[in-house]
Amino acid sequence: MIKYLSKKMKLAQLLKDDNKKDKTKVEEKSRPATLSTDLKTNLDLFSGIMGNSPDFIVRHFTFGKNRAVKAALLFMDGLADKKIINESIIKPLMYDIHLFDKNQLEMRTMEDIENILLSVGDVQHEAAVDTMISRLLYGDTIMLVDGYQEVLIIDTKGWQSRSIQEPPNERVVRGPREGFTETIRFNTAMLRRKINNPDLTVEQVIVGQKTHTYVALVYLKGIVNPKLVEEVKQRLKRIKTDAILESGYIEQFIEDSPLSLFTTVGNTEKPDVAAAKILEGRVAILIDGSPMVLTVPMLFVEGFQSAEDYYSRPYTASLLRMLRFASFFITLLSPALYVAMTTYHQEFIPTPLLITMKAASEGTPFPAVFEILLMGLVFEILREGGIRLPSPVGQALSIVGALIIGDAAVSAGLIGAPLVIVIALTAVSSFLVNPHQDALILLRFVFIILAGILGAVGIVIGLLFILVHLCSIRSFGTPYLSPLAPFTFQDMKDTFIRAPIWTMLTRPQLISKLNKKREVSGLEPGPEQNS
Amino acid sequence: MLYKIAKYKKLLSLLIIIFLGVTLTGCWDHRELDQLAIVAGLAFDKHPENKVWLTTQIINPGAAGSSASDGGGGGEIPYWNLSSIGENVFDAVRNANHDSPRRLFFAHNYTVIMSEELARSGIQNYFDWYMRDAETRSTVWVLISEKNARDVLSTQPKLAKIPGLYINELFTNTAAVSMSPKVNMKDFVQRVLSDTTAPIAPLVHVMKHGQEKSPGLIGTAVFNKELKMVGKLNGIETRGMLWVLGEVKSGIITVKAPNFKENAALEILNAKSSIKPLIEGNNIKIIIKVRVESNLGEINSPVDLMLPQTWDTLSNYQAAAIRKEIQLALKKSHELNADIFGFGDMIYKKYPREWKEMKDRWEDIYPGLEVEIIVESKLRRPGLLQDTIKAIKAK
Repeated sequence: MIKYLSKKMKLAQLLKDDNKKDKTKVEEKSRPATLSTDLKTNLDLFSGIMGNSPDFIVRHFTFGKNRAVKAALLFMDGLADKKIINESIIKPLMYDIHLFDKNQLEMRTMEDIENILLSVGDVQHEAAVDTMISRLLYGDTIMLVDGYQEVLIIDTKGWQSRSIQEPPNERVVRGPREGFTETIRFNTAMLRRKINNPDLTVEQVIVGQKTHTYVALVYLKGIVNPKLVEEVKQRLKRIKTDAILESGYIEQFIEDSPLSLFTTVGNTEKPDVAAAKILEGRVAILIDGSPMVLTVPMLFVEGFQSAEDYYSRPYTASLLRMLRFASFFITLLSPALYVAMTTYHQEFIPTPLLITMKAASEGTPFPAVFEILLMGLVFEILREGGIRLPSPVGQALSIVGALIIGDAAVSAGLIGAPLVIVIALTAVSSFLVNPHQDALILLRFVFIILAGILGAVGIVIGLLFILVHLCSIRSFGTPYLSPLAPFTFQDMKDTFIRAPIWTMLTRPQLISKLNKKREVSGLEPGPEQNS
Repeated sequence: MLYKIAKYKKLLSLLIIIFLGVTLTGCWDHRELDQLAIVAGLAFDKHPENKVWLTTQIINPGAAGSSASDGGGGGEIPYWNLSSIGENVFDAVRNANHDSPRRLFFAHNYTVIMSEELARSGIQNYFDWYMRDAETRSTVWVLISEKNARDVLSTQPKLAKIPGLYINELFTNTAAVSMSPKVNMKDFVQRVLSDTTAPIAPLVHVMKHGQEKSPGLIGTAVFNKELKMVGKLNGIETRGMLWVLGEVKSGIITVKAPNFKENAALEILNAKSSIKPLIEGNNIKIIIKVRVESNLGEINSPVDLMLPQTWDTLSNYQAAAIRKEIQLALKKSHELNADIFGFGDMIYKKYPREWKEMKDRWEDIYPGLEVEIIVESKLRRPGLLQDTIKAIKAK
């Protein structure tokens, strides 16, 4: 055993050394850093780099006095907005230029073109070829003019994208309906609309050696702990991978406890939620191509909070919050408790219930542990099937699930009816604590097996292990179980209950260390006090 | 990834050790629900050869469970009574287990019934196993049946169809009458352990309503210190005893004042008692103080309920009625020379020095013990009617 492990360790050491070598090898193709003054050479260079992709469009044209100036527009078909190119670039250059006085037709410099002719918002001069390429691939148009080393990069981004919709995973009855989309720029804009403040800082980095994905850090200067921003940047910089296709890639590269079942990086689809987290001193990580925005640090209790808690009045919100805590334990423990009670601790069960349960389990062929494992497995199959199946088939699936698996299994004498209730309860309550769903699914099975082996003692052992584990992990420097352990009294206003907004005077203590005060005290509405 | 695993080497080996420790020990205590036979009642009868004759009532969950939902039950008897004989109680239980296809499960047992015949010959040996075993509960009711104990368990009562559970429900309802003591095995054994206090147990008998039979509770069986049953208290005497013990929760007192035409019923709301021994020289005296509060429950005599004197009269007669009940119980206990009230223990607590020389003579002292009864009676409210119906009509 130990020998095996030490062998593995040696192997690991080797892999580590390999990694070091990899890091020194920087993958870079040799290409000239700047352009020449000759248009033809430059165009050859570009078509050399781009190959002969059909979506790479080169538009040659001439303009100016006697049509003496040769120029070319480069853009990617589908990524660039053709309307802008036609109306605001080509038309002014080829047509509007002739409306000017003949004497003024001496426009030959780049500045003149930029200043007088182009009616596009964002135009930049650029000399570096790498930047040109990346801008070109991001939907911008490059304007080459014969005789110039510099080019104009004209913002013509305009690809087809999904419109802003209500996020399907985080629905609210009261509150904003908009959700993030796949385009990073829309997403940062949505955050800006929530937090109208120049301190809202967006820092962009490019991750992914092949995909060159834009990743943006968004935080509020003055509230965020600069060390946290530094740490996030450090961890993002570490990522040397070829592709970032979704926020999940980033999450797995930057999380604190990759071996833990519990997630230490939060995610949301709602701009209002992301804005709230930023306002509490967290850093949001936006990834181009993903509507899921990551927020760090993520605490255990965040899994029990919902945006609507803060929008509705505090009483029901507090009740629902506690309900979520309760359902965490229900979904985690109820199948295990069922097993423990029916196989070890029958004296726990009230006599009339015991008689009914016994009557139900009479003649069922399998032990309770096996029955519940089987039904748990069936439920997970149904759940996964329900997600993947096309929605018209989904209907059929729910009929199969509810009728055949639930009712028929009981009447066929395969399982007892109380067990179906337990499974149903487990299933429904698991949706109340969505962020911890992944951990719960696996832990539920672990607890069932523990309960099958040791009864209630097994459940207690399992709970202790989880507690110790949760106490030991951190998310970006913040203890995962805070504000419960270490205990922070101020934050109790937003843990098991959601206190009225006017009592929550401080931000989460351990996250926003530098600027804790959220609001002035004494905001409770009431008749005006005469002093 | 692999070097990460290596980092957790210690943790991993610890986990493996725990996992092995957990799995290799096996599941000795494991028992599936459908492998159990839930015992709802035990009955002990006198065996001609002085062996232990045990009747075990096992719930038939198919019939019992379905009756809970559809009320019919298909006519199947919801229990199965298993008879077994052994040298001692545990032996008899194991013999019953031998005859049952499933393991007997005692945690949900509610009743232990012994026949009067057995009780009169002594039941000293019947409690050790039940108190010692881990699965049995000491909160089980102990009852003495006037006829054969097994017959009580073979009745087919309505509502709760299993006699063992039916008796348990009877006990939750005895408070309304307070004519039967609630004695579980723990209480019983506590009295056994006392030097002087006489153990008591409720009496159960089989009531007949035409064809149907069901268990019924009334009265008390009284034991001496050798755990032989020596006598019985009837319902009123039992309530007299319960007044002193402070265990009357509710009940109806019927009073008939001479100047009233009809009697009146008073509903007990609240009763408290205290027992105080008093030694003056050689004279031992017990002072029993009972405080009772009640409501007017029913009155048919044309009296004026607005007059305070009426209430005073009723209250005084209530006190007299309670005093009478206590005196009856006291008289019976003196006759039986059984200290059912625990006076001896009270004297021991207050006068431990005097008790030492008194202890051995207690049997001689008790029948002649002087007891003073003080009843403080209060009558509270007339209920929804402020007058009698006749009086209202006359107006």
